[in-house]
Order: sequence, then structure tokens, then C-alpha cells
Amino acid sequence: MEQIFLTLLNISITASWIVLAVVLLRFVLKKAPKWTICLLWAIVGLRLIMPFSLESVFSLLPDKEVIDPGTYQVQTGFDPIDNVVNSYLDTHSNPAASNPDAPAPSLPEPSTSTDPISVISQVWLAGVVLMALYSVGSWLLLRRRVAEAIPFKKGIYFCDRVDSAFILGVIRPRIYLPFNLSANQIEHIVCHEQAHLTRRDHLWKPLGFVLLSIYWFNPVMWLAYILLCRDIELACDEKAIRYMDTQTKQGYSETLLACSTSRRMITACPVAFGEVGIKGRIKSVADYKRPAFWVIVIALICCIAVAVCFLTDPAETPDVFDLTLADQEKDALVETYYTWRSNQQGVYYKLAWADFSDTAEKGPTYSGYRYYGTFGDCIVWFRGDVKGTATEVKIADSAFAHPCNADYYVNKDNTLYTLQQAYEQEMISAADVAKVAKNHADYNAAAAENPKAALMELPLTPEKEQHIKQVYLNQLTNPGSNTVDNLPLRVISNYNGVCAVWIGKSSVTMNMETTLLLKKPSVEGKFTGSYVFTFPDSEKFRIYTNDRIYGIETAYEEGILTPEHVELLLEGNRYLHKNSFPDDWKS
Amino acid sequence: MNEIRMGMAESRFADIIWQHEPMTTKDLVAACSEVLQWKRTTTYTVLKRLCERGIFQMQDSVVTSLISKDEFYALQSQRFVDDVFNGSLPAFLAAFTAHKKLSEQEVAEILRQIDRIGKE
Repeated sequence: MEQIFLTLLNISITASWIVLAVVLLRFVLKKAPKWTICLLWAIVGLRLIMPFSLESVFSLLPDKEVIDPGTYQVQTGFDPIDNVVNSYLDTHSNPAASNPDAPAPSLPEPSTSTDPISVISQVWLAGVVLMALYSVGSWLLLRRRVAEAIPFKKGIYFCDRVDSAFILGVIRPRIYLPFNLSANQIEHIVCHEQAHLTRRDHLWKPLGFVLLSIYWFNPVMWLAYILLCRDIELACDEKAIRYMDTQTKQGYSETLLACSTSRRMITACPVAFGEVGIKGRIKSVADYKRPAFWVIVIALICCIAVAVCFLTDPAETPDVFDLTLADQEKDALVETYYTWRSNQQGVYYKLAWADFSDTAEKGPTYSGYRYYGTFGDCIVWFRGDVKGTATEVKIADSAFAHPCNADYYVNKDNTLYTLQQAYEQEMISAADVAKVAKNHADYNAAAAENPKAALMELPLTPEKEQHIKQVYLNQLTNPGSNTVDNLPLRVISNYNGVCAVWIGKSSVTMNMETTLLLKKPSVEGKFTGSYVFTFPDSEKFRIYTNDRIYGIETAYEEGILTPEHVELLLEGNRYLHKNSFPDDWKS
Repeated sequence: MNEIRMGMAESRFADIIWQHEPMTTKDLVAACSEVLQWKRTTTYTVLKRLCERGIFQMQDSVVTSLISKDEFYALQSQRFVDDVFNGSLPAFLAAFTAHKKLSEQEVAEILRQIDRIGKE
């Protein structure tokens, strides 16, 4: 039930914005026919009813839900309010969260005792029940009163003990008139009430009251309902006097005056004559002019604009999978990572940021960096391999299907943190972590579907690896002290039976770079550029196929290493992945 | 007895009884249903109420009146003059004729009535 209440709370807050816009428009569109204003109220009603909504870029609604039904976190956009409310909610609604060392309760915490959200939800429900009882009660009372009504004309009845004329009934609505009316007055009132019937106000008003009963906790909704009732009456007056001559209109005003009651109650059922806003109505009747065509058009345009702006949710701001991090920002991230990693593990090879794209040709990348989004001033990104055995990691109650070496990092103020640290230090909220997890899961799913992933048959069996090592050793003129058992090997790719591997110990330090160029296939005889490999030590990067080991250039020239395979190796600098360096590489 | 009043709807109901009495309740219900579109329960409710006020009575499912229609409206008129004109009929007549001229026929009729009263 708390979920329902919080969802309704969020809906009513967004609806409040629309109400304020409508109030403003009412003022601006004073010359417009009132039925257009009623359309605007219909839009408010739609928003309150619709559980889902469309997205559009024209939405004027604020981005986030004010209160998250899942985590009870409040995001009003005003930090002081958020902090106060959230800390209160945290300590009161989940005692275990604020004291992680406390032993877990053996029974589930009863949510009724101290949870403020729970209490508020129950108060809300009680309010709804009260409103419902009031409606039903007053309807029943009224029904009793009109039991003794006398028929006058079809659908019109006279009744003792009623102060003013009204309509009762939803399916078969009837007009009830008090007895002490002159013939003239009867004519005017019946005209008005029948206009109500034609406009189906006897349906809209109770519907509005139902919505009010549900959203009773929001004072803006009460304002909306009161204004709605007024606008309904005004629209109805306009419809009634539309074809009246001046004399009849005068009589109508007099009838309005004569029949005005002093009752100010907000009622649900009867659409009564003379209850609401008499002064304003008399004035409107007197001032009534057939509205110009263009006024109607403008009013309708306003309605459509309001619908588009407020019935649609803001388009998901692309804060995840946004592949447009500026180059300098990418470089800054890499720089920070490199510095951090070097401090942690000694000198480390600085990888370049790969150019990610999820296009059909390239498919998702397999290694390298990936930008996950900017939350506030924290940039979340990911560095690692997507393939491999998935072990699950949990950060902030969000599960990350965590293939080997997938690392999540957060950059804030040029300092690097892991995602776990960032969450613990409250730089990133649990909701944001969940977003990252979800997008990574989506990404994994996409990668799994990608046909190219199937092309890489990894990992190799141990026997195969042993075999490759053996072949390598056999080809060495001087094996030295290397044996199959102590020879370091890292397999990078296995594509169509061709493996690219890092094999053997390096004899140079890691900082020596060698650049190697492989000419891309020519197009129409023209040179189109080269594939660029930047190796720390090109000698140890080998291509294996059919019981032979080749150097990369030879393999490429002889067509063993195809351009497609080369592209796979270059994607995200796959060939330079951290795992590509044997453990004892760094000497 | 002073509280013998009827609302407009009740008057219509009373008219039916006065017109057709004595009536069985069954017939009364049927008549009310047709003329007034009242439900059975409503007819019974109103009947009971008017019986309590001493206007009608019900015995063995037969409805009769305790006061005739003329008597009833005579009482009403008297009460009206009492309430509004302090019982002064001349005052009432003055008020009545302030905006409405009486025709010769009406004047003659009134004079005849006055004669009749004077002779009692």
C-alpha cells in the first residue's frame, strides 16, 4: 500500500504543476469560451488517471520523481529539504540501514510500527474512505428526499424540501426543481440544466470528486476542483444562453439572482443551479458575446500545448550509454585512471580510450573503456572485458553481472574511486547505481546477442594452450630455459581457427613502444590507410594457426590474419588488454 | 390540529385520495404510481405521515379522509390570514386588491358571501 500511496503522491505533484499552468491560462484566456477551459481541466484529470505516459522533448515536467517508491528517497531538487527528509526517513523506516553491525532481525520488521511512510499511507487511506462515505451518504440522503418528487415533464420533476434545482443520477439523470418557481424561472433553469446534461457534466463532476477523494491530501487538487465546478457552471451558462435574445438573457440573470443560495458546500453529486459563483456568473451572462473564431482557435492551441507539455514525461535524459563524452574528458579520465593504477600497482601501460559504438557492423566492444553516465559531478565509467565468466557483484543492492576484470570507476574532482567506494561515500545514490547496473545488464545482453561474439571462441582448452606453447617452443631456435609449463601465454583471440596470443617473457621494459602498421585493403586500387598497432613489445605478440606460429606482419601478408580479425583485435585495444600481459611481465 | 399543513407534493397526493375516496391501499399505490410515478414504499411513507397529522386515516387497508378538501383549504386560508394579516380579513383584501382589480362579477360574488356570513 505504501507503494500505491507514493506513486499517487508523485502523480499528484506532477499534476499540481499542470493545475498551476491551467490557473495561469484561465487568467490569460478570459475571453475564450469556457468549454475550452474545461478541456484543460480534463487534461489535469487525465494526468491523474493515467498510470503510464508518453515521452516527448516538449515536456515541461520536472525530471525525477519527487519520492522514489522503491527506496523512499526524496528528490525535490532542493538539497536542504532532501537531506533533512531523507535522513529522517532512513533512520526511522529502516533501523538496520543506519546500523550495519546490528544483527539481522530474526523476524521481518513489522512495517506498521514506526515507519513514517506507512503511517502516512494509512492516514491517506482513511481520508479516501471518509470522502467516499461522505459522497455515498449525501447521495443516499438526496435520493430519499427526491423520492416524493412529482413528475413535470419527461426527466423533470418537482420536489418539496429542495432549495435549488439540480440534477441527480448518472445513468438516468433527472432534473429536480423546487416548487416555488415562476413559469419564466422554470424555463431558464430547465434550459440551464439541460445544457448540463448535453455537456455530460453529471458525469464529469462526480468523476472529478472521485479524483479529489483519492488525491485529497494535495491542497492544489481542492483548488482545482473548486475552479472546475465554477468553470463547468460558466460553460453551462454560455451554452444555455447561446441562442437567447437579450430579453431572455436578462430574465436568465434575474433567475440566477433569485435562485442563488448561500450554501457554500463542496458537493459531489448534484450539478445544481445557483450554488456556485453567482456573482461571476451574472456578470458573465451580461457580458456574453459569441466568441470570435480565432479566439477559439487560440484556446484550442493552448489546450493542445498543455497536453503535449504536461501529459508527456521528459525524454530520458541520455545520462547512460551516452557515447559523446568529449575527447578531453575522455583523456582526463584515462589520465586519472593511469595515475591511480600506477600508484596502486606500479607502472602500468596506459591504454587509449577506445571509440565505442554500438553499430551493427562493429557490435559492442569487448574491452577498453566505457562511459556509463554523469550523475551530478560524478562520471561513472567502466574499464574491462565484457566477455568471460560472470560472477555476481553487489553494490548498493544492485547486482552487477560481473565478468572477469570488469571494473567500475567513478571520477569526481579528478580523483578516482571505485563504484563501491563512491556509493559508500554517498557520491552516487543507490538509484544511480541501479541505473548503471541495469544498463550494464542491457549491454551484456546485447553483447551476448551479437553474432560477432560467437566468432571468438574463447577460452581455449588447456590442451590447446599447451599445444600452442609447444609449437612455439618447437619453432624457437633457442628455447633457453622455457618449458611448456613455465611459458607465459595469454590468448587474445580465436577467430576462424586463428589465434592471436601474447607468449613468452619480455626482454624489454614495458615502456618501449613499437608502432606497427598494417595496410588496410585497398579500395579500387587506392590506398585507404593502415591499421595501427602500438606494442610494448611486438616480438611477443604472435599469431597461431594450423600448428604454426607467425609474426603479425607475416600472418597479415599471407592472409592468415584477416582484416576482419585485425579489426576485432583493435576494437577497444583488445590486443592490449591487461590480461594480455603475463604475470611476470613486469621485471 | 394547528400543524395541519401539506407540501405541494403532499397536496397532489391528498387530491388523489379526496378525489377517489374511499380507496384501498392497493388502488392508492397504483394511482400514485401512475400519476406521480411514486414507488410503493414512498406512497406508504407519505400516507403514514399524513395519517399521523390527522388528515387521513387507514383502517383495514382502506384509506379515508378525516378532513374534507374544502375544510382543509379553509383552514389553510384562515391560517394564512392569521399569520400574515394578523387575522384581519379586510387587511388581506386590501393587500389582495392593491395590485389586482376586481371584476364586477367578483365584487358581486364577494358581496353575496358577506351577506351569507352576516346572516349566520
